[in-house]
Amino acid sequence: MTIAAAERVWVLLLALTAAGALLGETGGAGGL
Amino acid sequence: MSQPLADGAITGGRVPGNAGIWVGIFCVLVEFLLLFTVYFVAKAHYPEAFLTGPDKLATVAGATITVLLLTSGYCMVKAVAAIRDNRRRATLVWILLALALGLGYPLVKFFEIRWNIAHGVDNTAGIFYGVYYYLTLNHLVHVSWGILGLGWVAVRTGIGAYSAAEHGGLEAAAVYWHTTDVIWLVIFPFFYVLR
Repeated sequence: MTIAAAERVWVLLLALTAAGALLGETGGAGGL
Repeated sequence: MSQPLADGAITGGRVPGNAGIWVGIFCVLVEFLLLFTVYFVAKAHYPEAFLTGPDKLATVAGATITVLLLTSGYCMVKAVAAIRDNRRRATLVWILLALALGLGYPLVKFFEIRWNIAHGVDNTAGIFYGVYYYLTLNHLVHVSWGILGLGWVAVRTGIGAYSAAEHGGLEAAAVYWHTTDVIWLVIFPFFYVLR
């Protein structure tokens, strides 16, 4: 994996973390 | 580059780190596979507890730990890349950054548990929280070993033990650190997000 690819994965996972935190706070992931 | 697992054993590539760390990683993954099985069995038997359980946890603590581990892991990627270019000072800086971010994990966990207890989320709060404490504290133990490993490779880097030609120990610490990161990426949605 190149550094550029690692950076893309890092940014993607940070974005998913933010989305997860939002869902966790709002209970929006109910039923999953 | 570090040596392959055994002379002649690898012809089409190279295994990063060393054989010992991959045995350890395999054991850790099996251990957490069992723990996640416990999670699913408990969830199947007590769906109501798992539906409402995340409501009482501090989502911001889980998300902060996720960001800390992801960013710390990225720093270790940069550290390994730096040593492959023989940039030892840059390698040490990246490892120390990874270590500093990693140390944020037990710090956040300390405040999270204090917050939990203040809000009645202790080991008597129910099955969901029992599984939560069992898995997350077990993960904290593994992260603590990773932090010790990062400290060790920081010292080794500082005394010039690694080079572009030989840095298997540094790679071993990095892959173990990534493993604890990946496991947390399962724990975070299981306990803080999904219902």
